[in-house]
Parts: sequence; structure tokens; C-alpha cells
Amino acid sequence: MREKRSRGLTDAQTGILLILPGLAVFIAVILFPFIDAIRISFTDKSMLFPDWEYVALENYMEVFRDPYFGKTMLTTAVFVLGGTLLPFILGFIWAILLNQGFKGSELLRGITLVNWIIPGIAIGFLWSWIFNGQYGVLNGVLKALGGEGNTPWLGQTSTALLCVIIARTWQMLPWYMAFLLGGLQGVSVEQIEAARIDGAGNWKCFTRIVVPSMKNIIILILAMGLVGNLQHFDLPWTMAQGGPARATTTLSLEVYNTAFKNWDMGKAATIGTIWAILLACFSIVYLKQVRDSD
Amino acid sequence: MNRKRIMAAGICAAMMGTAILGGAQSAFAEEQTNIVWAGWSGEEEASKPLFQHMMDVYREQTGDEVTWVGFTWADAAQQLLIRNQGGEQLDISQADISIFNTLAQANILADWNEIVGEDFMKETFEESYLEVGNIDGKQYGMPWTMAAITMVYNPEILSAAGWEKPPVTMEEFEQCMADIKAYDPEIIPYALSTKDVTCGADFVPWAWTFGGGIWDEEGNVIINNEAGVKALDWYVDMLNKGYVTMDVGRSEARQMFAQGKVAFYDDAVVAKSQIISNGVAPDDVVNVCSAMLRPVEKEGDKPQAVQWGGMLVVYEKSEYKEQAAELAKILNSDEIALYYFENGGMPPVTKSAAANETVKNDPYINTFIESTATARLEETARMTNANEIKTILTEEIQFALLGQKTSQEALDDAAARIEAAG
Repeated sequence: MREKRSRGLTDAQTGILLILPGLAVFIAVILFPFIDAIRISFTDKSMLFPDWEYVALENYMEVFRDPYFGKTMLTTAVFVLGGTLLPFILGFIWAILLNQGFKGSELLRGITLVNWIIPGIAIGFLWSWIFNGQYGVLNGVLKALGGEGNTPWLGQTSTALLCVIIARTWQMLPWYMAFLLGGLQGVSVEQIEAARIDGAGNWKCFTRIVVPSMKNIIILILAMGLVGNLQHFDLPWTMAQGGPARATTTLSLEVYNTAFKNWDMGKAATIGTIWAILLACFSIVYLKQVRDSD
Repeated sequence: MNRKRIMAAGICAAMMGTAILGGAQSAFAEEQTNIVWAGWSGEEEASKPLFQHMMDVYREQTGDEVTWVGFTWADAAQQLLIRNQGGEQLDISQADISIFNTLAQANILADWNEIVGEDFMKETFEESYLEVGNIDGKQYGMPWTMAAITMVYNPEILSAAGWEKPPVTMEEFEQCMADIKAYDPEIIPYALSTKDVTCGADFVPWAWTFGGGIWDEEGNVIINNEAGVKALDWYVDMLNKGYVTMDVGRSEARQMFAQGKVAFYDDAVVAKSQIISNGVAPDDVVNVCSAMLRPVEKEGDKPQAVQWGGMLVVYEKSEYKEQAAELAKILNSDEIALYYFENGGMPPVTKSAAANETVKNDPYINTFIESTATARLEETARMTNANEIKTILTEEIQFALLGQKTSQEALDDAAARIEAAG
């Protein structure tokens, strides 16, 4: 018996053995490329030439000296906040409506989810067509209503980013709706009814009972939404390619342009590293929330 | 015992059969090769059937297979580099002047002189065409389609607006645009490219027209000199008058022109294929799409045009350079070159096809050929970061067009950024 026990594995050893395959994949697919990207950010590596040299912090200095980097950060912030809060608010309103359980609400829920299934590139082309200045649907409608109908929505800085945020809202609204609807169904009906008996109105019930009850899920989806929008590439690229006058250039587009249009892998890795640090901040909030809700 | 023998004989027969079939299959595989031809023209709806025909002719004539891998023009350089560096099969591709140098500097191209022989190249093509694809004595590019990027116009629209001939000077050009606007406000007089890299690229010949450019002969950046600012001021003025519009790139301009919604735009000979794909008979193209010389500042000035050309390049890593060369020869054969010319408008580059009567008497191509005579190589054409320079120009032009900077401020910033980009 004693011999058998000494040959057997402890729980900790078994655990380590079980996570080893996953750990190996994680190291090969995520950790190594990430660390390699950080290493490349200290080099002058180009896509065109095999030779490269370490350049210390030169790429970082160059990025922070770039007069447009601040603008790119601001555009990213506006896109991330707009692209998260707008679908969140609309998704919440839609979830509350669907939660009333009226006739046809289940069908509507299913139809709403269709947006989320369509690939981002297709959504980008669809909304580019809607907002096109020459033959777009929006201008066509405006013209039919008596307007001029010749606004280049994606060709002016005042509206281009808003157009992209609207498209992103249309794409992501079902995702927020699905999570929030799940959360709403867990809110205690008795508590709301008790509050109503005490004279609470809809707004008070919503802010004092519904929102606190859903606090964990709200923080969770907002954190996930922020991370998703920080990473997002498809819509700003397909709809406006970062223009006009850099109005839709977010960090993800800047990395793409630097790496694959300017061939500067070192600088692209530098922007990518800064981007990853920002992502890490939101990820920490997300992970903390996951741990707390557990 | 008998049964065992029969079984053994059966197994032997099956094994032999498999071996024979396998051998035959591998012999067949050895005989037929499959080369990969990459580019962007075959992706364009109007050109797809033409490329399909070219590949069918290659299959028929050689018995080999060819697979087309396509992407958009804007992604071509990056996709070709990634495919090559990633070790994916890539034997031959098209490469226009704007990306040719990038590919050549990356040391991934093979020398055509070593594959098909210098004599073949010199016998087949004019020296001036060969020069475009020659870098430091290496013939990395085989000419395929060469012509200038100039301006095209719709004669029917101009005629309706009271213009029987295209304008020659800038003054006439502005008057013509005003007349078109008065004739039909729905028509965009000039679909000037105001987005993507075509915006930056198309600005350069206008800067030349006003006496400017990106660099002077010593390599100093001069985009922000008086001539450059004058050109950009003119852009802003045209936008304010409604002659040009934002959010138009080359592809939008082509589509709207083909639908009769645009009077002028900048393009190469390829403009024809879009018109044909919209249902116009090849012989009637000149009625709705004719080339013109770019208007000049004052009469007697030299009209500006950008030398443009498509080349064929073979990759150093390719195992099938010989087969790729066969495809290149077929593409440049009189039969295919004239087919591409008649259906796609691409002027042939070989001496024999260019001398053909059909080419010489074609009214559509004549002005392009006239423009080619004075066309200049795009200023960024020999740079590895051509795309970066054109993107900088595009962004700063857009700042000026949208009123966020004056023309001088925008071009000062463009000059500083171009200098920093090296």
C-alpha cells in the first residue's frame, strides 16, 4: 500500500499534468508571439528586408513624437466608448421591451440576433452603401423627403466616425441584448412588486432594483464590450479605411497601416504593445469582475 | 490450399494494380504542373472573363494547370509579400509601376533575362518599355500593358453641355465644368479622387501642371512650394463650387462614369473594360468614353500624364519558372495581346502586336498613346515606401479639402512627414 501511494501522483501533480497541453498551446500561440512582438518593438524590422537591428526605445520615441498619435488615441477612445455605450443603452431598452413577454417577443428576439451573425466585413459594405454620398440609401431617403440628399456621410470628418459607430451599434446590439435579457430574467419580480406597492415608479424600480441586481453582468459586458471595440478592425477599415483626414483611424488601423502599408514592423509592434497595455487595463477589470461574481 | 493460393494471387494482383495506378498517377503528376498566377485585374468583374480566357489558352497550349489568386489593387503588394515570405506557392504575378519597386527591393524577384534570355526580351519589346522593369541591370519586370494615366471624358455629356471638344486649358476646363453643372446638377463634373491612395497619386500630375512636384532634382521635398499650394487651392475651390465631391476613389469614379453620372475622371486605358461591362459595344466606347490630354495652365504648356504600366514578374522561390515564362509568353502573344486590347482596352507592348493595324487605327487608344509620349514616371515609383508617401499626401489633402487646414499648412505638414518618412 505504502509503495503504491509513493508511486501515485498527488492532486497538485495531476493538476499540473492536466494543464500542460493547454499551457503548451497557450505558450506557442499566445505568449510567445506576444513576447516576440514586444521584442520586435525594440528593433527596426521591416517586412521588406531580412536584416534588422535593435534600436532601443527609438520606435517608442517616434510614436509619441508623431503629431497624429494623440488624435489616433482620441479617435480610438471615441469609437470604443461610443461603440460600447450606444449599443449597450439601446440593447438594454430592447431587452426590457422583450422581457415583457408580449406576443411575438420570442420571434423578435430571434430576428434581432441575425445582425450579430453577419460577418463584420459584410456589415461594413452594407453600411458603406447606406451612407454612400452618391448613391446611398440614406441620401435617397433624404432626397425623397425633400432634402438635398448629397451629403458625403463617410467623406467628412464630422460624420464619418459617427457612421462607423452606428454600424457597430447595429452589429453589436443583439449581443448586449442577449446578455441583458438573461440578466433581467434573474431580477426578482417580488422585489419590484413590493417596491411598486411602496409607491416606486418605473425609473426608481429600474435604478434601485434592476440595475443593482444586474450590477455584475453589466460590468462584465461593458468590460468585454470595451475590450472588443479596442480590438475592432473590420468596420472602420471597410467603411472608411481610416479616413477622411484620419477621422476613423483607430489603433487597430494604425497598426495595420504601419505594418502592411508602410512595411515598418518595428513601429507597428510598438503601437501594438501600447495597444496591448490599454487592453490589459480593461481585461483586469473584466477578470476581477469574473472572480468577484464567482 | 487452393483457396489460400487464390487469395494470395488476389492480394498480389491488387498490390500490383495499386502500384501501377500509383505509378501512373505520380507520372501524371510529374508531367502536369500547376502554377500560381496572382494579381488584381482578374478580380475586377469587367476583366474576369478575359483572364479566364487567357488561362484557358494556357491550359490548352501547354497541358499544364494555372490557378489564379487575386486580391484588390490596394492590397496587392502586401499580399504578394506575405504569400512569398510565408512560403505559399507563388510563381508569377502582375505588378504595376507603383508596387514593382517594392517587390524588387525585397529581393524576391527573378531576372527575366536569365529565364527567357536577353535576346528574346530585346527582340520582343521596345527598349523604353524594358527600362521600366529594369533595376540595376536586372530585368525583374516583363512588360505587359503600358500606357499613361491621363483623363477620360464622356463626349455625350460634354456635347449636351455645349462642348464639342474637350477643354485644353485650365480656364476652359473650369468653364466646361460650370457648363456641365448648369446642364445637369446631378452629374458630377469631375470625379476627382478624394479618398484612398489614388487621391495622393492623382494630386501629383496636377502639381506638375502648376509647375510643382513632390521632390526637386536634388531630392529636396518641394510639395509645399507655391505651385503645390496653388494646385491644392484649386482643389479646394473645385470642391466649394461643387465640381468635385468627397468620398470618391478610383473605383467609384469608374462605376459612376460608366453609368453616365460623371463627365471627367483620371484613369488609364482600363476605363474601357468598365464601359464594356456596362453593356456598351466595344466600337461604341469612344462615344461615351474618350481619352483627353490633361488641361494645361496656359496654352502651349506640356500636358501632364503619369507613366503607368503593368508588368509580369516571376518569383525567385518559384519551382516552375519555366512554366511561368510560358504563361508570360502566351499573355504577350499577338493572339492574347490583341484579344486583351479589343476587349479590355489594354494596349499591347510587343513590337509585333503594337504594329497591328487594329491597334494603330483604334480611336480609343490614340490619345492614350499621345499622352504616353510625354508621361513621366510617378515620383514615388522607385521608392519602397511609395504607399506611405501617397497616404501622407491623401491625408493632408483631405485636411485641406475639409477646411481643417489651409493648403499651405496641409502641404507644410505633408512635406515634414515625407521628409521624416525618408
